[in-house]
Amino acid sequence: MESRNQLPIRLDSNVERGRPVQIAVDGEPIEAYEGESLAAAILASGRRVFRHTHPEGQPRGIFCGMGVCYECLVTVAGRERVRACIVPVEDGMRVTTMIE
Amino acid sequence: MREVELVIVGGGPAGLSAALEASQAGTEVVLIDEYSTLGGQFYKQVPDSFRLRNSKAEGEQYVEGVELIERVKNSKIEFLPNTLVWSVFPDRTLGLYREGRTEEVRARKLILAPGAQEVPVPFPGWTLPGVMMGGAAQSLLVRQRILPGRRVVMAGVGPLQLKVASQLLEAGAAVLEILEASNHPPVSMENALRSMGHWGKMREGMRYWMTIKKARIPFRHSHVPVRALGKEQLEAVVVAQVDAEWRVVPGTERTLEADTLCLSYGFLPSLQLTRNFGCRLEFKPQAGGWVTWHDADQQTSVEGVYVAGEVGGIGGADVAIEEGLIAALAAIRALGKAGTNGNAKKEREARKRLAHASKFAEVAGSMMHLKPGLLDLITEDTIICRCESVSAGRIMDAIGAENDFTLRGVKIQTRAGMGPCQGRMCGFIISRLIARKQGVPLDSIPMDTPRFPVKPIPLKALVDYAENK
Repeated sequence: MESRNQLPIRLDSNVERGRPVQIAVDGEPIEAYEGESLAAAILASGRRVFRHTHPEGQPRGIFCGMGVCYECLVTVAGRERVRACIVPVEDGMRVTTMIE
Repeated sequence: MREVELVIVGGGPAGLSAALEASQAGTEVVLIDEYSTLGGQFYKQVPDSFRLRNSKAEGEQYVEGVELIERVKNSKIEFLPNTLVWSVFPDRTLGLYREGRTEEVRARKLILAPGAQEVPVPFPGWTLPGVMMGGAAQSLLVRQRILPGRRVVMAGVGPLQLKVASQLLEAGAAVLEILEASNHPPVSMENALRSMGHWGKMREGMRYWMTIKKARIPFRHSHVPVRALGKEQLEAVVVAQVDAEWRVVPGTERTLEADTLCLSYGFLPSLQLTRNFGCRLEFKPQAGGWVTWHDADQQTSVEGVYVAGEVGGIGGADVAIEEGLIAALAAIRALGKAGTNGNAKKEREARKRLAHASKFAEVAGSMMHLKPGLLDLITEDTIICRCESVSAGRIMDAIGAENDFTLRGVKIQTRAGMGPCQGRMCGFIISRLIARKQGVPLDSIPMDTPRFPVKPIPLKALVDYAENK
């Protein structure tokens, strides 16, 4: 398991987020907000590594942030290769990082 | 199959401007965007389910976006959110992917306004989590309200990085240094003189500059990041001074402990749609390299297909808005709906504003010019194709083997460009490596053959599509 850190944080000035929802990232329940991108929710949970390349095992994370580079691909239950930077969270989503 | 009078792809400044103009003239408009919200990468709006307590506090650019989107919502424009154009077919027919399904729409006239992506600049370690494009940091901040990092190094060329840096500062990040690759300061007398008359832009630039100065952030021109260090994520950035050609000056390397490195080296037009349509391209070094050729009415070499904004050359939002308007007026004229007498005057004024905005775009473009030393940062082990993890060494070996100096040749030999991004990241770099190795100008290296799907869609969606056909 990668080391968790408190790097990215949700900013509260001038904004009221959507309704709180819960998703699971690698089996761990994570709080997120309706409308938020999957990437934002994953980052806010302290994770910066979205996947490891196969077979080299290099860590990758958010890079272009606009749906072009496909670095932030994660697996959402039932859907492979989802771009976390573009896809909004949905209540109950089960997300897996780390797997190529 | 559904047929629509005017289909517009891309809900940024160009697409919004075109849609509003056409709809106002009584044209049936379908507006398509890959995102759930309109506004694109320029207006960067918060998700619909977020509420801003005071949107005015977000600045003029944000508010302009809010107002345009409000007008779209109050119009008859049909907006298709979360919709990917995955293929193009003859007769201006688009293959759409939305809500897990594929469908087709035929456009009697089509305006493509897909915008741009940021320029990828490789160096050792640039694949580490924590190294990101300036636009990614901005989207996290402005759209998602997430601070992308605590200790940030900003690097790139041109005035945009001042904006990203001041946004990061205002959100509470420590911006350690701003590294400007070129050897001129952003606020020079020369640029001030060339920007005369563009008061809004000058004022905006000065505001960012003052924010940075007030916070005492070191601004270092002739500096670039040369290596990103870290195990599972970014831990430090090695920076160095460069000469006028951006070649590292030996002995000037320093290491900055940082968790985030933002890169802002300019923009490239998103050409996948126009290339798939077979629209003619032209090479404009100051506007992003290969761009979509268009006439004065924004029509491409393919009849009935118009472009607006960055896809026809990087020019910024002010240019995009006017081009969108001109494209819409041309398209509705071609539909036989020219209608009101006011249009001629409207078009004349739009062209005047376009000429004015284009002048500033030229100034900005000349500031963004990338110098050859940047390629020297690439080592043999540096990953060039991020999708398939192909190193520069393997790519250099492939270039010229069997006398093949094409992107396609490199792709077949190394898999570079074969991953899900379809060469959007590595194509720009590989074409530069080919040009260097072969000693020929960049405009002699054509882009790789465009393929569909334009972006990956699930195989099931394709199968369903084929079966329903």
